Amino acid sequence: MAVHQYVNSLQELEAAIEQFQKISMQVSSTPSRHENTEHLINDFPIFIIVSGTKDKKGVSWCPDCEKADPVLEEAEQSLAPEPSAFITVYLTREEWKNPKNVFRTDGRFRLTSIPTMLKWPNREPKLVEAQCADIEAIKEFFDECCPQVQD
Amino acid sequence: MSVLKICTKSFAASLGRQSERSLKKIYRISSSFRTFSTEGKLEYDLVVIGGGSGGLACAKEAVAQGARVAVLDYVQPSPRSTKWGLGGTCVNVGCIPKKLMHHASLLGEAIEDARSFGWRIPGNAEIDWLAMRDAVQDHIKSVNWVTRVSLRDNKIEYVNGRGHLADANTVVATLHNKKEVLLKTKNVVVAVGARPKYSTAIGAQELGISSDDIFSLEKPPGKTLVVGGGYIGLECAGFLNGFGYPSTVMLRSVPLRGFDQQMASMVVNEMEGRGVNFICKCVPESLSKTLDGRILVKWNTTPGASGGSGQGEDVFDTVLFAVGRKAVTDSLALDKAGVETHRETGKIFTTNEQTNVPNIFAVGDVLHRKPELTPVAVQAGRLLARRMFGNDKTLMDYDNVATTVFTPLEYGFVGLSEEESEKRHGPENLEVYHAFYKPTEFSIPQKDMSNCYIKVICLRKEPRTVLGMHFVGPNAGEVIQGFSAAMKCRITMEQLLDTIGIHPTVAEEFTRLTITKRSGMDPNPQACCS
Repeated sequence: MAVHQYVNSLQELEAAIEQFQKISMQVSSTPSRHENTEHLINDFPIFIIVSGTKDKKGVSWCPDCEKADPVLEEAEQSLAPEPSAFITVYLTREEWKNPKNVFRTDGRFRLTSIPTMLKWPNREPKLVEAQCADIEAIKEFFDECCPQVQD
Repeated sequence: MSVLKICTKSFAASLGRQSERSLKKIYRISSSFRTFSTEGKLEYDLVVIGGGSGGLACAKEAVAQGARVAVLDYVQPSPRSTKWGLGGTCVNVGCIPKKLMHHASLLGEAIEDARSFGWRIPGNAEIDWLAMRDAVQDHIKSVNWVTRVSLRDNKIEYVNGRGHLADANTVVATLHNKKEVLLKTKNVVVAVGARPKYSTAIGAQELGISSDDIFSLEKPPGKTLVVGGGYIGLECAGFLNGFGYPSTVMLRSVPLRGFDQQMASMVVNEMEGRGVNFICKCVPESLSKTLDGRILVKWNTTPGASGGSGQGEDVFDTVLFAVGRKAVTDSLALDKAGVETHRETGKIFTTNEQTNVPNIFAVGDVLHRKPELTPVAVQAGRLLARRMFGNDKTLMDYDNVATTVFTPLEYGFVGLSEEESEKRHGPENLEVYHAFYKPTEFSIPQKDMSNCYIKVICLRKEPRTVLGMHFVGPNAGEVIQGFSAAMKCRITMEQLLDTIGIHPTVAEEFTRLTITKRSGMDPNPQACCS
């Protein structure tokens, strides 16, 4: 099972990340590791999808985002590691086209295209554009981000 | 305005359930194995063991020739528990991070040089180790990912598992969850490369690190001892020193053993001039932890050696062992197929990349007596695949492979060393042209040019074929690359000296050579443009 939050700005994104991290720490089975969140990165991965806003009809201004939507939903249901969290950031066309947009300039993201899916807080690997609509690529991405470990 | 699509309580509750099961992970074996049990067999034309430079090049070319190919890749964690992704040594713990850190180190120097060119730079430049390391690791991860995507695009089956042979036509892949997958194959290419050795000193494995660890080190290395005077040791000491971490190199015998020793001494002189400390003809005896968490190293003269720095001890923050690399063939069960390997090095004996077993081949660092270089592995792998599955019969040419040591002042060369030239042809049959030179850009910041030196060795008899070209200076790799194409065409000294240089560059110095060692004349530069 994966949980999903939808936000519209960097501030909201940061708040959502913090929220997810707090929740998972509260129920973490190893209280001795409370001091740092290192282990949570793999125990409880947070995936961030940056996408284009939808109009009143529910259609995105970004055609690749539109194509990726149903595939990402399917991937979240059937392929995502359990448990994991997803946060989708919706940007308007004007926001994204602006070269000074924080998701382009902030060192934590440095995005060059949308849709992009990445695992917080890594910049690499990431899925971009058509890869977000490719179920096989998404499978590989989850494999790479959350490698299987022994019991 | 954010839209919360989840109920926090129920989410936490489900996490609670999860944590009751100790956050058990769900295993997802890659899709193509979903239909196979542990007894499942998969049929291939080629299974490549090792997803590094050689293995991947071979696999991609084989697929291009129509073969059905699987690649196994697996990284045994280092003694420090360091691991990495697909791509092999070069991408993860070799050429790529090395070059990036070397470049990062030189940039620090460039910032200082900039002042003399008129730049107003406030304050002193300091390296943020973690920021630099993260930038380098980010790049590596993007390459891991691109490699993975490229395998999929090329329809190459990728198995993240440890391979060994059950027999000459069966490779067993052991996955993370200990499950085994059997791959039946017509051919096998072993491309498992090598891993760093540790010295036998007490405490070496427990307290030391290697090149496997330095590029992802979680904290700044601080005062570092590099044990080993090969190119890995010198390159690491070089960039660490450039970052401002006091560095010492301990040499068992000579620096860059097997390389042209005159050029090697230029490289070492340069490093000494930059503050790297050299302990000569010594080996570490023991490493132990001090009360404040540092490492006390005790060393002594190399057995059988005379002179050198002699016995001593000192405290370091980091000890990096660069004392050689061992081929990763032990766990391959090569004996199950009868493949012959060197008893000590573990390397595989091959002729044209074929082992003594007709359907088992090898490429890359795992080969006995072949240059341990990425482009060599790539080319050999590619040509091998063409011979195996295509109509091309071209063999790999291991001669005149250019290479560069990326020490602070770089050393690039192609062809034979002066020592090897003398051994093969006799000194009386050789002419050695040489010169010191002054890079234009070094003058203004008053950089030390005393080690900027080039040397060309040719046969004395017509047509005076060039045997070796050696260059110590900035951008040595870029300088030498073009000349290796010339060497492939068997360039003669006349043709070289007939070439017009590009001015002002350092590479043009090869076209301006006039002084020979035999003449005894002064190889130092006179005027600039005459």
